[in-house]
Amino acid sequence: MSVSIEYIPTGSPVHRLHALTKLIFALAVLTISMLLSQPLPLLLLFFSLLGIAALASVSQEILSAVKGLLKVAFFLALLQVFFYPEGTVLFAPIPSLPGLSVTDQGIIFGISMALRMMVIVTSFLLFLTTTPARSTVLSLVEYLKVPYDYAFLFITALRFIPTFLEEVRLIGQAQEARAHDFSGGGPLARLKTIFPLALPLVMISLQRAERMAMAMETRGFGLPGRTYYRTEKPGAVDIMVIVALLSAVAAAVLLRF
Amino acid sequence: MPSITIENLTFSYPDCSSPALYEVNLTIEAGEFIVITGATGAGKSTLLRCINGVIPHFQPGTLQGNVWLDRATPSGRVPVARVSAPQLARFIGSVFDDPEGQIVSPIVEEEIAFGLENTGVDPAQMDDRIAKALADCGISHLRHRATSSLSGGQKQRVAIAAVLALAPKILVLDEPTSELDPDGTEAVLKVLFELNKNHGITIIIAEQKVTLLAPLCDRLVLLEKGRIALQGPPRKVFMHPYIFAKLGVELPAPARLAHALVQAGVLPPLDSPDAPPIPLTVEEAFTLSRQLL
Ligand SMILES: Nc1ncnc2c1ncn2[C@@H]1O[C@H](COP(=O)(O)OP(=O)(O)O)[C@@H](O)[C@H]1O
Ligand SMILES: [Mg+2]
Repeated sequence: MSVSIEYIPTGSPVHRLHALTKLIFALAVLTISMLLSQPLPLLLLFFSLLGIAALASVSQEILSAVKGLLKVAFFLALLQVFFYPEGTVLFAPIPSLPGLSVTDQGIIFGISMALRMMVIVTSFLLFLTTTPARSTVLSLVEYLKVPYDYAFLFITALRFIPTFLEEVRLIGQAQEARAHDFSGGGPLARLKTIFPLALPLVMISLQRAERMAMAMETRGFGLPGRTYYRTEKPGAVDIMVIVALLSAVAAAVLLRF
Repeated sequence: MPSITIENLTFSYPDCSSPALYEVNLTIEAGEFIVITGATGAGKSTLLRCINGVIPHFQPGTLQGNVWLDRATPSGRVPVARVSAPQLARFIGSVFDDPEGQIVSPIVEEEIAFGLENTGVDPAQMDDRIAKALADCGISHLRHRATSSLSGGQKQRVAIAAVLALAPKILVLDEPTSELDPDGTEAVLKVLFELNKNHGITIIIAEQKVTLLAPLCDRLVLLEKGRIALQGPPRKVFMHPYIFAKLGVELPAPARLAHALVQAGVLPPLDSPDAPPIPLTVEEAFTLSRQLL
């Protein structure tokens, strides 16, 4: 997996959508995946994302990222499977530790959890590969009234997802190699081990955002009274997609509650 | 008329014991083409960052002294530190050394439009201004290209065109050719020379490639450990080969030839009244040698 994910200009129909539409798309997928609890619908959602990646001609990049993700997903599923307490016990690897038993619900929960993570990350990767950072910053500032320092921060954070996951996977492997129990210690202890490794990467990411902020501000970005060469307003297709997305979210909410 | 006036400028990066610039005084005239050179770490980038406002707007540190920007308005000169970065964009165009980091748009014309949009230019005027900026940089044919598909030299010319569209009085460029091949370097320097000659834009450039820039520039400034070691028109500063040697900056070959000719007793000392001017280009060196034969 590459250290960071970048915009890939292929000029596909997906690329031509407004940045705002694609941002809403990523957020809608996130919401829907949170509402779905069964593996099958999540799997369907995941495959539709791959379909969109093909439509956007960024399959290669997305698939290679997904390959890296699989290992993280596997870890995540395993953790859930062993530590999920409810449901019918299928088998207990260590009879003296009933907490470690594998239950039917545990398996379903673990698989759903892993799929959900894959869905969320993939949808944001799709967003990043099909939307130039500049358009995202502009949309956030213009439409959502986000102060532009935060808009840059948002971009940085997004770009950092794949790197971070890769780190988590490597740390998992390293701990496995040292015969450490990956789940050993609380979440805080785990964070402590990730932190020193992730820090330089966060720094690189921040530097890049800083450089972009510099490149934009030294060309007048942030002055009042901005005009537009081509109106970057969401078009009819964008409105349709946004309406469809919001309906899908509403449907998912209704089905869930 | 001065364009930039630097007074007793001292700057230290955070957590650095010695200052990166120390008591620098320099006046840059409007319309001047000035080259800042020196070994790596001499403070070239730091000096440029103080001029284009990256220090103090983006880079923290301790700044003493002043960098005055003459805006040629009734309100006169202002310290660069007091003008916000986006405001400065109207007066000073900044081009950085890495072609990747400074391009923010997927398509060339959008990249040029970006600054125009930010500064509130009427969209009806944008096409003309984009076309002009591209033409001035000799890259009209790239207008509809994806920025990611360009070569390094093309990217740097797009970056120059993008700041040029804002009609700045001053261009500040930090080693804009450091990542370019010879062709790309030549193309970029040619653009700068023409912008300076035809449009009177003040050019302030940090470069190691003294040989290429000497024939183009009005003045060379040699930095040594954050101080100005030597400055003047190229033919004047080339009179001091030992300073170049001491600073680890290569003296261009044509100038070296002149010094060798003096040592061989073929030419009178270069500072004597009857000495010929120091050649800056291979052509000038050739003419000089021919006269001697
Ligand atoms: N961002 C920075 N933080 C700390 N020190 C820096 C930074 N940039 C440059 N320096 C230091 O300041 C001095 C001058 O550097 P610089 O202006 O980059 O020189 P040049 O451009 O001539 O190579 C060097 O000693 C360098 O290590
Ligand atoms: Mg430098």
